[in-house]
Amino acid sequence: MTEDGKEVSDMQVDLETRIIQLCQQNPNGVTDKLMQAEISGTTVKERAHGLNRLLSQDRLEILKQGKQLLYRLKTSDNSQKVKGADNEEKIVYQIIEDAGNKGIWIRDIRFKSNLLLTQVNKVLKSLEGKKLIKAVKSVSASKKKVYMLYNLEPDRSITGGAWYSDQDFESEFVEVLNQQCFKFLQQKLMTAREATNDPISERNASYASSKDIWKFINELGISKVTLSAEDIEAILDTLIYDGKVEKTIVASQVTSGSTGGMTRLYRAVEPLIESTGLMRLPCGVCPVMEECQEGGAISPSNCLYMKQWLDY
Amino acid sequence: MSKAKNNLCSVLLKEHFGEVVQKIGTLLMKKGSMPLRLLIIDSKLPLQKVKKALCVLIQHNLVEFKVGSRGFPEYTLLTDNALLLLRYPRYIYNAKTLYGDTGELIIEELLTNGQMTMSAVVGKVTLRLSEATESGVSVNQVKDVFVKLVETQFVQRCSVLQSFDAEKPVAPTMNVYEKEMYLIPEIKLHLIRKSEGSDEPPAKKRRVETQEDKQPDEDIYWRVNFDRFHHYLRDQALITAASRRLGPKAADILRTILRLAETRSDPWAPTTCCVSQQEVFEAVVKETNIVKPEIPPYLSVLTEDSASLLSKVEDRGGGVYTVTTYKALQQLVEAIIMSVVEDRFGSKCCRIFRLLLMKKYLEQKQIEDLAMIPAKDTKEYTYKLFQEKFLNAHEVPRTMDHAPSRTFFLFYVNISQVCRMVVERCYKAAHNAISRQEWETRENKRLLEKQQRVEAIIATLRENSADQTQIDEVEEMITPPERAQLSHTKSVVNKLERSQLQLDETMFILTLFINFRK
Ligand code: SF4
Repeated sequence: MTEDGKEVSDMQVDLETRIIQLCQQNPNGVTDKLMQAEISGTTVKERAHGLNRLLSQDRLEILKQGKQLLYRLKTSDNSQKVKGADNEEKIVYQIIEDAGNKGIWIRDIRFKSNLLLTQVNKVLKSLEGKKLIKAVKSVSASKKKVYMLYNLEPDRSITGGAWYSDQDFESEFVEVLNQQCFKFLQQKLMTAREATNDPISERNASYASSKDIWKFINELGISKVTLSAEDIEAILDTLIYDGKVEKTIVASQVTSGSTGGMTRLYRAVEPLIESTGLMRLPCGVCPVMEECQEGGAISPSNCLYMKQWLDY
Repeated sequence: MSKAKNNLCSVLLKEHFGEVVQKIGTLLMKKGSMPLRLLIIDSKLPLQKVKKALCVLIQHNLVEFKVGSRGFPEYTLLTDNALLLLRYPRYIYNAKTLYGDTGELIIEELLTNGQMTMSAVVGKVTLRLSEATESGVSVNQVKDVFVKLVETQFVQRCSVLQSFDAEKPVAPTMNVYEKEMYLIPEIKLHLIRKSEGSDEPPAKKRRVETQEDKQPDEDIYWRVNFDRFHHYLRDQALITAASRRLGPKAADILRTILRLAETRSDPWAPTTCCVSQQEVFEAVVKETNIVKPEIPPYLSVLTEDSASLLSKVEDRGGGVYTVTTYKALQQLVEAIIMSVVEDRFGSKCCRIFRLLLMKKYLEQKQIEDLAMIPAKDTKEYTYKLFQEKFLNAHEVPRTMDHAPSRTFFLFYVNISQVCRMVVERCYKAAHNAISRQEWETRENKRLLEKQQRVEAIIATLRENSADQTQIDEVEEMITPPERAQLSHTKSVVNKLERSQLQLDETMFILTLFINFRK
């Protein structure tokens, strides 16, 4: 029995789902032999391990048929699942199940169940102990925990998607990607400029689709997590807000692979102006401009910023 | 009117016309319009000086007068015109690029004197040119350039006295007829030619001459048409932008289109008048070395570029184009403001600012998600921008009690407001640069004077062809540390002057935009 509360590895979960699937297909029970045949690539030990876990979670039951052992799925009725639980546990379980993979906050459980906080806490603890539910930290509020059924994959809004690890926004990661994407597009612009004299083909050659950029980023291998094309588009959008890139959307041709939707094209652009006159002297960024006055404590004639700038 | 603007006007008046004019100008700014009597009392200056100062100001088109409510003439300072003093070097520079040294000198003369008759300008410029160059320039050539400047409307007639009742000496009415604005009067070139050789300035000489020898254009005065220059400078800014974005050829084409549209449309309309593709072809091929097949692709990238410099209004006959001045200007203004935000608050703030500019209204959380900046930082940046008034917030209460916890705050950018704020900062910065420049010269006054004396001595020595050792001796009167100090001061003053010009460039585009929005 593995009730030591260790993290369940992917493989194990995989195996368990396969077992359950098999059982679902054979509602009358599965023999050891069948199990061995159907679930290939696993050792006896692994299988026994998985079965044991499922048994301990009350999801399978063992029957004896003649000399053979039969595994059968327990009817996944809620009341069945929380068998041996009291009414309170049932109610709370129900509430958590309704919340789906978005999870539910403890306060809301309390409101919905009309139970006291201490009671809710107790119930949650016991459900957690039975591995029926789990607590997940949300990225939107670091101290907030939400509860959901044990076997659910938390929603993106809870985990924050690719940009979060352990509830922390990976701003450096985002920055690196932002820079890499820009480099890629800038490179494209440069080569486009060198390659041709015709302004239209130059412009067209400087465009890259979000897919191209996505491929480039994946090949760079700077990301530990797999990024989706949407993730890259979000990054590209930040470049638009930085004023370094512009985007056009074209209807893509229906090729064999694609469904012919919209293709988003991006290209690097030169800024319209170099820098403004105001920012070329220290007063442009001066934090104490309000106080600066001829004859005052800070004045243009005794200003240190000015001195540094002029001596430079 | 803001304090920063007034201060800047004040130092500019001092720099160009001295302290008395500055005093009168500042008084006028403080009080709005004033009659002469009050000006004398408030300034505590003698009548003569006040009158003289007013004369100078009127001559330079910086003061306006009209009959006030009590029947006395009242004087008002035109601050916007006074600010243009900062731009004088630019007018001169542009006249030079357009019409060479002669053009430069004509504009320079007109700017330093405010207004002049044509014969006086031509005479003076011819004199100066023949002094400066060996060969000299003929009066005719100078006159031709002057005529060209008038034809292109860079120079225009001043308003003339219309009615003046000697019985009741109140303010005269001045007027100028539109059709005469750019009319070239007859002048007698031979009179100028005669005075050319003599050392006396022509004006002085004329006074003793008889009616015969008088110039016929004596009461026709000319001045620089600032508006026309602004129009030109604006087009120049658009062309530079096109060049940065799409390369020199696109810039050339845009320049041609602007020039074609220039003469027929109201220069300050949001778009120029239309130019057909055929016209563009002809003009571009004639004026540049771009060949015809190259043009259509450039036209299409110009129209499709996000800087929206050019737009195609019709497809008829290969296309009819207009320059979308207003939109293009807006792009420039936005670029300027972005660069201000970026330099002052960093690139992340700039991202938030542009995001809001693009999406109009956003909540804190949306900003965070779209800009992909951590929540804590986003909060800090938006509040910083909000505090410095680059962002505004719009309250949307969910409940009647306006409780902050149940209220949405939508952030947005008011571009005209930000624009005005940045212009203010420019005024202040320009004021500071001028103050600093004054201070630097004051601090090194003794040294600068010494240098001048030494140079004068050397010049006379050279004239008397003294030997080199003697000159060297005099030169050594300035010690090496002094020399270093001098060159440092010179570079500092240069830097400050340059920065004033650059500041003016920013101000120019921004004020243009503000005036457009009015
Ligand atoms: S002069 Fe110095 S203190 Fe004054 S505004 Fe400029 S930088 Fe700031």
